[in-house]
Amino acid sequence: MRRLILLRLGMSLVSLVLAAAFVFFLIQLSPVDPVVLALGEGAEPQRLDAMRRELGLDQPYVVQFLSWFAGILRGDFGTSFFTHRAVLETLLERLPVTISLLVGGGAIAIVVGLAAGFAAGLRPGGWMDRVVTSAVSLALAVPGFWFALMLGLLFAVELRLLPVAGYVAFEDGPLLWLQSLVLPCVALALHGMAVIGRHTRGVVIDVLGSPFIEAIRARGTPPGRIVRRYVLKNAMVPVLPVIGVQLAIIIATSSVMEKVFVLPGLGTLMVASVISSDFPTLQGAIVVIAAMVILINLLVDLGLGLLDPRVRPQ
Amino acid sequence: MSEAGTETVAAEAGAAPEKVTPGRLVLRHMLGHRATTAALAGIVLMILVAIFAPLLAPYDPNYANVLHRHQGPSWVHLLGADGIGRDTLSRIIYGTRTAVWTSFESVALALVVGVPIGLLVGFLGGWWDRLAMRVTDIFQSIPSLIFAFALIAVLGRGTNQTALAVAIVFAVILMRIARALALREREFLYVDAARVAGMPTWHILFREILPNTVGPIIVEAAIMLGSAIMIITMLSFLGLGLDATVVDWGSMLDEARNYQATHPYLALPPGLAIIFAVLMFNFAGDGLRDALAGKQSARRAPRRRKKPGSAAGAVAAAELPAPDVIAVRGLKVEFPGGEAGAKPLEILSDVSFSLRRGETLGLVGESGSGKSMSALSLLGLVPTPGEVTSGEILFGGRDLAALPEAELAAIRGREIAMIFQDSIAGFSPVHTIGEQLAEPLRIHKGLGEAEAKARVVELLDLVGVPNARERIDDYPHQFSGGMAQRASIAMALSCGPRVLLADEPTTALDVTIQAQVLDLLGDLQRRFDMSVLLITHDLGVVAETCDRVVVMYAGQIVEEGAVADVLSRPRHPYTYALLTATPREDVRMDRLPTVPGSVPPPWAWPRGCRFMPRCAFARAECGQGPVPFVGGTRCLRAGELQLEVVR
Amino acid sequence: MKTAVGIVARIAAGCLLGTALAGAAVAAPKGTLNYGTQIQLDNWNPLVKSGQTYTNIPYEGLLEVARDGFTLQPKLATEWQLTPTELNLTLREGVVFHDGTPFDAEAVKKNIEWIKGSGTQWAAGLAPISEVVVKDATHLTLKLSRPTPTMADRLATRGMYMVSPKALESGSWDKPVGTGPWTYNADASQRGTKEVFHLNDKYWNLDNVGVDTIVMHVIQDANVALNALRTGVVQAIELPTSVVEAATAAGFKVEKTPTLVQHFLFLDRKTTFADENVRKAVCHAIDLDAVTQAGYDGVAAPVSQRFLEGQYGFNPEVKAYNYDPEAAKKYLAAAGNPQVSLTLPMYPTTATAMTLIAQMLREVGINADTQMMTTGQYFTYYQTDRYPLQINTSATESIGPLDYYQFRFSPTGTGNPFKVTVPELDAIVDRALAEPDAAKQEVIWKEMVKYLYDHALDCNFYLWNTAWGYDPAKIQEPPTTVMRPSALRYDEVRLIQ
Repeated sequence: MRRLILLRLGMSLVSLVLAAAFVFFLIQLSPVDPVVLALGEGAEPQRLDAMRRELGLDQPYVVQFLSWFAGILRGDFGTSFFTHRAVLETLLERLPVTISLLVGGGAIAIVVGLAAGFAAGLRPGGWMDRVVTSAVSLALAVPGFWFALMLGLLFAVELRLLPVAGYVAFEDGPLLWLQSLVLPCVALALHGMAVIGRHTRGVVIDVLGSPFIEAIRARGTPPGRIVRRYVLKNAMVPVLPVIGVQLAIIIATSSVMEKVFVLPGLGTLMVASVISSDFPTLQGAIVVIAAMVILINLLVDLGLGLLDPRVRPQ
Repeated sequence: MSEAGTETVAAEAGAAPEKVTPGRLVLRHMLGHRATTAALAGIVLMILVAIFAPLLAPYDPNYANVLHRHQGPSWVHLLGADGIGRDTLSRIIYGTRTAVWTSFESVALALVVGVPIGLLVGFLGGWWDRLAMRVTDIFQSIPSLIFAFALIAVLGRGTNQTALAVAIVFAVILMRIARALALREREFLYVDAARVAGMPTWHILFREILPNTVGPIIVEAAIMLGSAIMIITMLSFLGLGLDATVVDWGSMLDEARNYQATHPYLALPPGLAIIFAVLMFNFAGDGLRDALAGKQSARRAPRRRKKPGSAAGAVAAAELPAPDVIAVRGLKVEFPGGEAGAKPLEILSDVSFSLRRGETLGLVGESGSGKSMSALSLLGLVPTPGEVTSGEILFGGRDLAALPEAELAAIRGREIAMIFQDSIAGFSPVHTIGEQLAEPLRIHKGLGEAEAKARVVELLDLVGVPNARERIDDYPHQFSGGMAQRASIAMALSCGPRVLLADEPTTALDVTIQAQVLDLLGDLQRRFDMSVLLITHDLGVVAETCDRVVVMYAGQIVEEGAVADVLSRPRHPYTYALLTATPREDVRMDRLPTVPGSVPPPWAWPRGCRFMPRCAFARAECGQGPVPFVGGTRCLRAGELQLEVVR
Repeated sequence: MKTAVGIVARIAAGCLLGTALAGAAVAAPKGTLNYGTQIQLDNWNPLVKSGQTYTNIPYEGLLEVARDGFTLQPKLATEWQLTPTELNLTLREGVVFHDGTPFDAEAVKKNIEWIKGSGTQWAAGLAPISEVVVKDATHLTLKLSRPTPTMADRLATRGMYMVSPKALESGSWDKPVGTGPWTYNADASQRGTKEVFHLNDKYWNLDNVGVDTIVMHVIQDANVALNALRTGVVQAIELPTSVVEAATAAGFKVEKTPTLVQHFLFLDRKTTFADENVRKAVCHAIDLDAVTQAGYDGVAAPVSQRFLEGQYGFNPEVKAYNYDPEAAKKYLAAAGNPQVSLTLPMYPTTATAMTLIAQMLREVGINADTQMMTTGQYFTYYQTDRYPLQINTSATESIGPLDYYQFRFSPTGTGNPFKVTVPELDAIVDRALAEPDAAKQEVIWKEMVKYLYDHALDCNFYLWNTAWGYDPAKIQEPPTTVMRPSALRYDEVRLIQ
């Protein structure tokens, strides 16, 4: 097991470096010259060159990438082109919102998805299955952010139960904080719970049809125990990677949700950075997001290793 | 966004490789399914609306009549007007044109770029392949939307830039799918043949491999059309996608969001439009996938076992005559017909036999004869949707066929145990052998954890598994076939059952191991005074280990008797044919020796004797009606025939 | 001779003039003001701010304007005396900067020198000062090279805040070191979202300060604004016009103060709008009545020019460009039908107006796109050469025609980021500055306004009111200043405890 952890950790770091390099080199393709952006079009060439040297922009791209990435490992993400503050500071300010959304939305998607998938898969063709299957088809076609608007319409505008938008930091009031997150997390979870539910249903049906289930039934194990002990653990193995993918999608979709509910997270930061060509902030935010996704994948791999002995290296 | 690509491939890879059915056949399959037809119609409708937008829209979608702002639905504005007085219906119509155009553009581009690269990379392998997988890794670390942010930051906003961003993301996904398909196809003979014939790579790729991979790719593309609309509307909603001169559902939603507190229903029309479009593409994709795979709908729910006219918990009418332990009388198992209202399909017909105390009864037959089904029905494990529709299974003073599930569960593993052919597959792969072996003890005997563990070690020793104490922490995949079978035997014995059902326990094993396991079985049987029902197709095994034997053919018992008698003087032509087809009695075969002809399937059973078409001794009267089981055999000519097997 | 700003009072909303409420003196400042604003804080350099939303909290100037927007009041200077050749100032005693540096004449001199050397529009405003003479710690004289009737008024503008000389030397603008009632708490703040200020207990006028803590909530979205009022997150907020009705219906009070004359700023007169005909086409393409109705829910109204009737520099001969799309198209044709493309930046509360304007431009053949961004981005770009056209204004322009010219058309003007000069305009201004007779000078300024109109250098003006929504149970009517957008008179805020 330890070998597995070390192996996967190494691979994750490689993935992170690759992703960071990809983002860096992609952004370099932009025609926007950060020096011109800062100093203005009319600035004298000597000033432009001086600033280029100062920022290290005259170095070959690979060197620039390495120094940027080395900086990231030290915690220095550079300075924003727009606010001229350290990118790291802004990222740290925005991170709690994004993480709250990921944890909240992810938890709802996983719990509801697994529950629905099991309920449907244990009795395929039953009324629960039909309800779940139809709900899944519909949920997959509904755009999450529109669903968010509809939730807002119902709960915030009509019923006045929850805030229509706006974020309250945890320190300013835990209850208000929670309230400001309920609608966005539910809306975020919609797509994920549908995919997880559909996949879980299929997996549960497959597992129930596996030969060992028949053998286990032949041993007289009661059905409840069969489900709790054998179906659950065996089903989780193929479902876990799907959960990982959905969590990554939730991270991405949270950007859109942040706009709907006006939450100051990484998503709105990235959108603003795109508009103002604030590349250091954009690069930094994308690296943080990639790190989160890679971490999730790593946890999924390790989880699989824990659950399924067949994937552990011998 | 669909991650269904891997599912498609997995399903395809698992199923037997089929050539893609011609388009017409696929279309017919699709149209047969109502939801898919509706989806195709919906897509056609969208395309028509997109093409004829200028004719259909009542107003210029950008014309702002400020006096009409925020009007609700009326005859002037069928869907109302937006914040600056533009007609919502016209904007929805033109939005359809944008959605159709941009989604088709992105997916087409992705297909053209991603599929050829994927096929090439999968076919060539080597470091091309590794490079491609690194690219895929990168795109799996960066979510699609985020990648689109970066690309748009570089290229700027606009219709083409947005479509390009989406196209790149999809191209990577398609590349991964095409690569997997190419890897699979590469192994097939026709590819080797092409290679040997010296065809160039591109020819092999596009003329040979591509046509066989078109199916899953088209399915993925259909679903991607829906995903493209989702991603593009999300980007426009964020203000990063299409520019403001293009009418787009995403920016309509953004504007609607601005007015959420005061005019909340503005968000409905564009949202419903998006849902409609994505639903159509998703259903079409699903329908296409089902049509290509020819799948049926999912297995149905395991229904409660019922037997006509029996109340739950019925007690057998009569005690069993000793030394019978189990008596099966007139067992009939049926499966429901294919379509609604069709006749049920009979799988087992009038099966009757008994198992005596302390004996080993062999149950012999070809696959499809119903031997496994008979054993399963003893335990109430007939796979759904089949069910026992008449007959009795008498055991311990009760009719097992009429017992409710809970009581049956108490019998399973405790009084009647079963072992299967594939022993490793009979264990949950994610639990240790020790845990699983301990389970019957804990359930049926109520042993505590430590106690059960100790007993398990004892049992494993008993069946000859070395290092039992260490091995209980191992997982099933770490056991060899023989060891796993011993372990399952150990588990079967753990509660001291009276009856052991062994379904082909040695068939999957090595020849030498087979002998060991059979010896073990015999040993244990004597020791524990068990009755064993040994299902096998191997007459040699029957000869060595069984006391009596029952022969099944096409769902019926055709002969029954003591092993010595049946094997030397069979009374049914089928048994005779089996015995004479065996070249030597001591040669173990992988399959039942072949008798000319084949077993009729349940839906083609003849009215009369089911063996008649292959019987060398058939007469006209054999086919007139069902043949009764008399004197240990089901043959009208039993009295006349003198079948003797010369050794 | 009336000061330019002085005239604004006559047209200011009547309700505001009535409230001479200068905030009753309190025993000690108490309570927290939670205020919602659309403006984001970037840094603390007063010279580069487009508004006083934040700088009015920790900084103070030598003079300030009263609520009516023009009457000068003492602040850090207790007395002043303006002659054609000099401005004499008497400074308040016992004032200390937040970092402990004493506030005295030397400090003022350093500030003035710093502003003069800044190269910003404020430098241009102090250009007539030829010498700063420090008489003693509390008295100094600003020698003027030419008569400048508005010199004292300029000292009351947002660029003239007094900053600690030590902070000026350090060159860092991370935190404000002023003399004002509150200091900035960077740790408790989340930049761009929530800014926190705590009481400066060494402030010289604590008796007249109402609250001890100010929390500024950045709220750019109409839905969130309404919600923030409803849930009590803020006691007062600048309300986007689209939710004014809903706020009133919910029981909140809305106070409207005229704050700005906004207009089309043809920033890029280098390429996109170099041709006068193109500019005239744009001016005629817009139906301002529709824009102010739809985009500002009637809280704004079109006017003919930059200065309002009765204000210094108002030229009755100048009318607004009327809505005439046909004329617009003709002007474009006269320009040779160039392919004009532009992106109009907007932030959430101006989205409706900008979308409508973009559509109107497209109707006459100009390819206009819109780009949504945050308020912070919008106000930053408005002083850069990123977008060729923005619709905005600056409060400095309101002081008078010279200030308007300096902001918009002088080579160093912040409102002239493309640095385009109009020699004929410069000539008119020079003539005006050289004219000693006040009445004749005004005639020349009117000539300048006419010139601007004839050549469509700016157009499509509308008077914009800020709507301040507040909870009457928690806070008294927010103290505002005419023609000053987005900033309250924070020391005069009184909560209802």
